[in-house]
Amino acid sequence: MIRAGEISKGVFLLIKNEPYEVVEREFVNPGKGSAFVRLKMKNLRSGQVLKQVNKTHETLEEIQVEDKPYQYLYADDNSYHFMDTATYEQIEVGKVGHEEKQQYLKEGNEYQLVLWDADPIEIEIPYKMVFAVTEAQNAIKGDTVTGGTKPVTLETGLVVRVPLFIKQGDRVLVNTETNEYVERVNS
Amino acid sequence: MRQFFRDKGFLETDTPILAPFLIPEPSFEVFSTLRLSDGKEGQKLYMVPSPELWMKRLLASGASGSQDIFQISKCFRNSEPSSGIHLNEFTMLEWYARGRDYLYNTGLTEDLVIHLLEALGTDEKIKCRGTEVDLVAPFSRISMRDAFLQHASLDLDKCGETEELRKAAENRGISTMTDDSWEVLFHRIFLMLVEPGLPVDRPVFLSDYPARVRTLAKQKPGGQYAERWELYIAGIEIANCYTEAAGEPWIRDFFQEERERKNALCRVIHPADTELGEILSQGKLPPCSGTALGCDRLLMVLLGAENIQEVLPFRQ
Repeated sequence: MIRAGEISKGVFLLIKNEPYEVVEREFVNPGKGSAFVRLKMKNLRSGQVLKQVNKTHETLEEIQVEDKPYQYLYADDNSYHFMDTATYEQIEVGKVGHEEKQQYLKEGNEYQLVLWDADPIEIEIPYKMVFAVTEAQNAIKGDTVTGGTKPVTLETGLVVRVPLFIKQGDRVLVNTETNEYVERVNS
Repeated sequence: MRQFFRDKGFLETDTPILAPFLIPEPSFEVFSTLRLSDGKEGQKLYMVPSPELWMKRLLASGASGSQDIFQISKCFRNSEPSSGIHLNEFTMLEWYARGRDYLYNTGLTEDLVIHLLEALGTDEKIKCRGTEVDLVAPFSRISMRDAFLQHASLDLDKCGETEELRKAAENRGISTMTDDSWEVLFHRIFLMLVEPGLPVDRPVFLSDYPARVRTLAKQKPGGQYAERWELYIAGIEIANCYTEAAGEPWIRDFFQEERERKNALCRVIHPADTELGEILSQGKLPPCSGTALGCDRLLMVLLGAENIQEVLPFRQ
């Protein structure tokens, strides 16, 4: 159990037998009343968003989870497929609720999966990742209107704005929280 | 800010930061410290979360004569979240207008905001935390009952019983706990449906809180609502005002109940200022209306800062 006032973004909770991840937490202290927290949570099975208000002293059921590294293999229509590289055991994560993760999944890369009772409920995307540029238009000379950036498509389908000197085939480091270009990576 | 109040004939006060007792307020934690006496641990002292206990004493004692009083001072609240709008050490403006009620202070607060805009040379249209706000007076005014009718389709007049309010909350998809009091249920609905629906494109005075949300505000005739407002700008609470309760026997019980809740809920426990409870319940406070305004928050809004830390010379 965890006190609502101690919940932070990223905490996993069990509400009505469904696993949720807290995506936003705001403390509200309506004047002279009790202290409350406003929680915004994502259901890790359905992707649905749940908003809830709790007193800071209320307790909620925290899920005990475990992080474990898995190699990403491929995606089919419904699931992402991963493999435990020690045991070669394969594991599936349903796409529902995790649709936006696909643009950060590179075949052969290792990701941490969040396991709850051996059930994978979340894919942790590294804060920064390197991607190859698969589609980029050549810069037009004198183009300063767009602030010296252009959109390019990366190997996973993710589109980010990069400086004009980036070419197709280059590798770039991207902040996966903001989808912002960080730098070009050599080799 | 000082000039504004001096021009209106207010007397500036300066009251202690350290106090041996405080008004018990269970919704936040306070800071405590120890006074050394002959090198040994002596009395426990507490850093004030607002100057209210002292300013009300000044008014009740007659020390400030018949003048209105104001103060700009550092206040302290422990364990505040790092939310971009909370600080552990902050600057509060608090003023008491004698012989006036809470409605008088809406006008004065509007005038103050406009005065500060002019002093800063800032445009009336400001942008704060992604919201554009037009600071032209008059600001919006809405009563809590109307706000509940508009945003929760709920008539507070018809929800006097705890069970009625619980049903109303659950019908609106809000989960409740079996031991929720009327006040907690009210806040659950307020925070889920009403507060998010308040206009953010202009400042709003949200007024006439249910009397069951217990504060030191005077009750309106009928006893169901209290003469209290909160000012929201860009969705942020900026100021809180009451017509001050005095000469009411329930004030003594209020201090006692709040002390019990404080002791049950908070980590830092302090002696309650029961003397002030007596002063207020015996009606020694002259009729007045008091307002507390968070200066850092107001500055943040007027300057369009995204985070309250940006208006501080040193980050906390």
